[in-house]
Amino acid sequence: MSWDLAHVSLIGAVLVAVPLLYAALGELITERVGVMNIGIEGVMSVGAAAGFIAAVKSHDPAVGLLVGTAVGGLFTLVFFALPVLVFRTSEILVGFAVWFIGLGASAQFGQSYAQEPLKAEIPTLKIPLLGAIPGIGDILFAQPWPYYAAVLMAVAVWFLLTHTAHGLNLRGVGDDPAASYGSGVPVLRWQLVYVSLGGALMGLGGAVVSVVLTQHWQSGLIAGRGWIALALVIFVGWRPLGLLWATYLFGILLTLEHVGQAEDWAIPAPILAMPPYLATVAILIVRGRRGHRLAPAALGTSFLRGGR
Amino acid sequence: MRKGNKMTRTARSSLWLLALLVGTAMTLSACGGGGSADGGAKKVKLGVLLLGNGADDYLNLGFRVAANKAADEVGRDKVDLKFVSGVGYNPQATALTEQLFRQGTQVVVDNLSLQQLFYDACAKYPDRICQEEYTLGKVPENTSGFWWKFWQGYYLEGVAAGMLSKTGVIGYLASFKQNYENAHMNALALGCQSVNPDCKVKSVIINNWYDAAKSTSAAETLVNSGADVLAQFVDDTSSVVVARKMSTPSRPVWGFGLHLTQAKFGGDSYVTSMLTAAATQKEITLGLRAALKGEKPPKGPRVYGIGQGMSLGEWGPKVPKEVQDRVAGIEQEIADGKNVFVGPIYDSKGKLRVPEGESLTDKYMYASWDWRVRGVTGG
Repeated sequence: MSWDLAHVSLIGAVLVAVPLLYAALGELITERVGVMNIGIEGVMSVGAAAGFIAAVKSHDPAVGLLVGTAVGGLFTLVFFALPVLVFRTSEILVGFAVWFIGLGASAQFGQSYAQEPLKAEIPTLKIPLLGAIPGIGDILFAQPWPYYAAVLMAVAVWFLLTHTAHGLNLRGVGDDPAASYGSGVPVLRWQLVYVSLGGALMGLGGAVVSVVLTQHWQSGLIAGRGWIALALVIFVGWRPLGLLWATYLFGILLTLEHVGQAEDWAIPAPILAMPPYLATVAILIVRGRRGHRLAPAALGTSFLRGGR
Repeated sequence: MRKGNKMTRTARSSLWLLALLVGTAMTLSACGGGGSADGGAKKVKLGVLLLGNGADDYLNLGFRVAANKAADEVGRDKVDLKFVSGVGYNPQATALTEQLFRQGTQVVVDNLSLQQLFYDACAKYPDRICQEEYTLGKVPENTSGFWWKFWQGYYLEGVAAGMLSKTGVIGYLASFKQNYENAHMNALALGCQSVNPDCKVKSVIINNWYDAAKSTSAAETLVNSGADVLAQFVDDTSSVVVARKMSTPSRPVWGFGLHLTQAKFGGDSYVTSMLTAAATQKEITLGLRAALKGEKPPKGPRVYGIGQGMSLGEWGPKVPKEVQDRVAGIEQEIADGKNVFVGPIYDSKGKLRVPEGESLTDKYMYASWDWRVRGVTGG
């Protein structure tokens, strides 16, 4: 493989990683307040459809991304957060339901837009000076703005969780909701807000797929990326900054599958498709018990369902 | 005891809500089916099984167009048309087909090549008509297959690609590793090499019919890897969208669509699409007419080629007239019966596979082409 091909492939891998980064950040926020939303795939699908429809109708991809974000949040609030946190249902079962509802709803509402092209696209934004750094400038500093926003979002979430009192309280909700409740934190309200915000980021991730990556809508567009995002959160031990390298690593591994085929490497295509998933299993094994210790202590438990 | 009551209430609440949510999902999914439902006593009931969502990819859209036109052709008042989407390669497909038969459906069309899953249901209802895209092996008496001679279409695309390409490298997005995919990329290479003997085809397998994000990434990789023309056998628009996105005045990139026109996605980079719906319409009309007469359609498989319902569509706005004329000339020759797959043809290792004076048959290219021609590389 030539350096030129490696270089342009690394540029492409960054963009492939962006929807994963948004979705995984959404799940990380959700899990940090003690709730696991396994319906990411469904939320991303709804965000992808809503974002694409809005982008087509407004002729503005930025509007599409905003609508995808808003619809992702609203969808999560109505179909996941309220049933789980207010109606006290199983978050695993409702998560599965959200997955299917998201697929069905996005297919239904998006189908008439399958033959609609986007009239405008988000241009590449090259950061002055940084974009001119040889080797990495084009890769890290010459991308569409949703990439920069995703990186800033990861930094913002990290800062919030680790450097603010509010973040400390948030982590407290995920680790020991009883203690948080006892110290006056409005646990249910915070969970509702942050689970919905998490859904908004998942919706944004879906909208990035349809509006930025493919510029085309069809059902099944998310094609498992929601599940990858779910695994990535565990993969990085619930650390927002870890998602930056992890999603990019996955972007590279996903791109490598195509590069290997196009360059006629002597590795069968199905084998080339395996590294992202092998990497997940390998790192989870390496993490072992330590990984469990990194998880929010009360993740998946239902303190408020009986104790409120 | 109180705890037990509480758990029961919670469990009941969970189940109720879950049922509501799943019901909503199923209702929304089912809404995509469409079709008319005004049942009349003399109507022929036609059911069309569609892969996946069935509404928004190009093969399924082609089937929807074809089935509606077939119903119009035999008389809309004589046909009760129903599309069934969400069908997958699992035993539920057999149950679904049987359910259609129990509801009185006389003609069932399978657009996903379910094969044995479909044959099992058809064999139980020998008085009905089953039509399947791409049959393989022994099929029940009431089942006939159909397919398209994609190899002819890809040969024509190859000729156009050879004339348009400056790099001499054509990128091809393959769905799965199958012999029919070998036929497509080989035909593409042979057509291209008829113009430029050094032409190469680079292929990437997507391993899916619907993963537009993956095929978009693969198409970008192919362009980065030297391709300046993209062809595809996946059910999305990635080849034409990526061609448009990555095209620059100094390095134009071209893209082909499939099944229906995709001109509006490709802009100035659009070449043309291989259109298949007219052939599908012919096949479904055959089944409907036979059902109306109480007969069976002629035994298949029927493979529709150029001039038989398959054709290249409108040309992109920037495709030179010279390219259009040359391809149109060869298209006419193929429609008149010319076989363009004649020796000498060498495989990718340099071995002579088809000597001069010999040619490949449609039957061979339908399912048996298990090697790649010179110049074809990749997955």
